[in-house]
Amino acid sequence: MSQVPVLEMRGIRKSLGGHEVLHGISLDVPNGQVVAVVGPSGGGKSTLLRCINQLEVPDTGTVKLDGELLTGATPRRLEQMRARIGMVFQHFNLFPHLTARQNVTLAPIYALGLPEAEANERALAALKQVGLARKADAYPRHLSGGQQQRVAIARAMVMRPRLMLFDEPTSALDAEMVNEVLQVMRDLVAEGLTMVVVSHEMRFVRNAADRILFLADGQIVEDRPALDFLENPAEERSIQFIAAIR
Amino acid sequence: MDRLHQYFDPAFVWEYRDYLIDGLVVTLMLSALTFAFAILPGFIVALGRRFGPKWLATLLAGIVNVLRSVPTVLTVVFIYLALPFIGLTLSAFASVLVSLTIMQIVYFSEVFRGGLAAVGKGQYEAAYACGLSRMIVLRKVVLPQAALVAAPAFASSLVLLVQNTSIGSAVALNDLIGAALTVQNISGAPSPLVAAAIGYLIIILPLVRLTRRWERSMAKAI
Amino acid sequence: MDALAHHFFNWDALWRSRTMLLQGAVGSLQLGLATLMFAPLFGIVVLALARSPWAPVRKAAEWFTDLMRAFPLLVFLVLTFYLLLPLLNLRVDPFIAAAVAFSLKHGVYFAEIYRSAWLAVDRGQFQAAHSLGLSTFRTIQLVVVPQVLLIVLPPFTSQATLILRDLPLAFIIGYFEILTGARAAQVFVRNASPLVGAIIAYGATLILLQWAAGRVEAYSKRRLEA
Repeated sequence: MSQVPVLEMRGIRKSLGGHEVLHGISLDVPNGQVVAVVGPSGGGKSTLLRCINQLEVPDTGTVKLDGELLTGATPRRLEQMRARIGMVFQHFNLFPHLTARQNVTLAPIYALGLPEAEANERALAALKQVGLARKADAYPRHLSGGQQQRVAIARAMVMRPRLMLFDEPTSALDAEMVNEVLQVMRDLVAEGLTMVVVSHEMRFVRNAADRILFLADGQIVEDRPALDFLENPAEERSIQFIAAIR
Repeated sequence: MDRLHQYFDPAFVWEYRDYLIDGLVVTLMLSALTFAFAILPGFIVALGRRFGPKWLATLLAGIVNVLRSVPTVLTVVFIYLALPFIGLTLSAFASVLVSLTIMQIVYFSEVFRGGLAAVGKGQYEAAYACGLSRMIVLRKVVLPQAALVAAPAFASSLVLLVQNTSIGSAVALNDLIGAALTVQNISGAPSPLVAAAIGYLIIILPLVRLTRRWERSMAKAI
Repeated sequence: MDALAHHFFNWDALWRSRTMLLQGAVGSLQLGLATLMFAPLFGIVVLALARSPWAPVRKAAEWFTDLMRAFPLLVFLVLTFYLLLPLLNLRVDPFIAAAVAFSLKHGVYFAEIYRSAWLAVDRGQFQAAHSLGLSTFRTIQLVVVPQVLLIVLPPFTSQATLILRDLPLAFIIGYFEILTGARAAQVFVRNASPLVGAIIAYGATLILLQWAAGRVEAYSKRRLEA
C-alpha cells in the first residue's frame, strides 16, 4: 500500500529581488523521515523551507501536505494547514511581551480553539518535554538563547504537527547552548516525527538525519541517504563542501 | 517680595477668576475634542501606510509630509480669516478645532507608525507559521508590542496636543492664555498671565513626567 | 473656481503687499538666525549643568528642562515678554523677548541632542585610541568630536525645522514677522492672497528643509559606517 507522503513539492521556482533562487525543486518526504538540507550559504535552503509553509509563496510549483495543496489554498485553509506544520526559526522569534507559557498557549487557544485550561495543560507538558517547565512564567528576555529556542520548539510541538521545519535552529546560539537544543531535536527524531532541517551542525546531521539534500545554487545537487552522502559524496561540489566544513 | 507681588497677586487673580475658569474650560474642551476626533483617523492612517497598497502608502506619506511642513498657527489663521472670503466662515473655536485635529491626526499617525515599524518581520512569520489568523496576529502579537514601543512618543504627542490649544489665542479665542491676555489688557496687570502659565503647567507637567518615565522604562526593557 | 483664484491667488494683491510680506520675511529670518545661534549654545549650558557634580544643580537643570518641555511656546513667549524681561530689567522689546523665549525652549532640546550623541559614541573608540597611544585630549579632538559632529547633524537639522515651524508664534507679542506681515497685508489689500502666499512660501521652505534633512541623514550614516 503506497502511503501519501507527508510533504510533496513539485517544480518549485522562486525569485527574490529579481534573481532566481530556486530553480525547480521537487521532493517527497515520507512519514517519519528526517531530512537534512545542507549546502553553501545563499544556495536557497532557507527559501526552500519557507516555501513549504508559504511564508514565501513559490512563483511556480506545488506544495502538498498529506496530499492536500498548500499552494493556492484559501487563507482559512492555509491557517488550518499551517497549524499542522511547526516551524523553528534561527532567531527564535518568541513573542517578547508574553511569558514562555503564554507563547506556547497562544496558538492552541486561537488557532485550535482549545479552552484555556486545556491549552495550559498541553503547554506545560510541552515545556516539560523540552526541560523548561520551571521557566513557564519567565519572559523571553530573561532566558538564555538555548532556553529561548527550546521554548520555540515547545511552541511548535504543542500543536502536535505532522511536519516540523527547522531553519538553522542553532546558528544563532553560542557554542555551549547548541547541545541542549540538539538534544531536544534528537528526542523528537526518536519519537518518529517527520522533520526537514536546514543546518550546519554536521554532528546532528550525521547522527540523526535519514536523508541529506545537498542544495547549491537553487538546485538539488545530491539527494541521498545520510551516511551514503557523507562517506561517498558523488559530485565535485559535494566533495568541496564536505571538505570545507570538516 | 513686593516686586514679586506685583507680578503675582492672588487676590487679583481671584477677582478675575471667572474669565480664567472659562478659559480653562475652553482649553480642556479643545484638548478633549481634538483627542477624540484625531485618535481613530490617526490609527487608520498608520495602518494604511504600514499595510496598505503601495499607492495608498505613498499618497498618505505625501499628505503627511506636506501637512507637517505648515505651521499650525498659519492653518488656524487661514481657516479663520481667509476662508470667509470664499464664503466659509468658522468660529474661532471651530477653526482651531479643525486645524488641531488635522495636525494631531498627523502626529498620532507618526507615533503609531513608529510603533508598528518596531515589530520585526520575524514576529509576523512566527505567528503566521503557527496557523494564527491575520486578525489574531495583529491583536495578540503585533499591536501589544507596537503599543509598548509607541508609548513614550504617544505621551509626547499628548503634550503637544495640549500645548497646541494655546494657538487659539492667535485668533482671539478665549482659551486659558487668551482669557489671561484679555484680562491683562483690561487691567494692565500681569498676574493673570502667571495664573494661566501655572494652569498649563498643572495640566502638562504630569504628561511630561509620564513621557520621561515611559522613555526610561522602554530603555530598560530593550 | 474663479472666486478661489481671485481671493487666494491674486497676483495683483500679492504684488501690492510685497513690502509688508518682505518685511515680515526678514523679521522671521532674523528671529530664526538668532535662535539658531543661541539655542545650541544654551543647550551646551544646560547639558553642562545637568552633568554638574553638585546634585542641587543637576536637579535644577532637570526641573528647568521639564518646565521648558511643558510650557506651550506661545504661553512662554507671553510670559517672557510681560514678566521675564521686566523682572530681569531688560528692555521690553518683542525681538529680544522672542529670541530669549525661543532660545530657552529649544535650547533644552539641543541639550538632549548633545546627550544622546555623546552616549552614541562607542566606548570602544576610547580604548582603541588609547591603545594607539593617543592622549585623552587628542582622542577627544581627533576621534570623538568628528563623530559627535556627524551624529548630531541629522537631529540638528530636524530641530532647525522645528524652530522654523514655531517662528510665526512670535506674532503674539507684536513681533513683526511673516504672519504679522501677511495679516496686515490682508487688511490692507482686502484679499487673502498674502496669507496664502505666506503659507505656500513656508510650506515650500519646510519641505525643502525636510529634503535637505534627509540628505544630511544619509550623508551622516554613510560617513559613520565603519
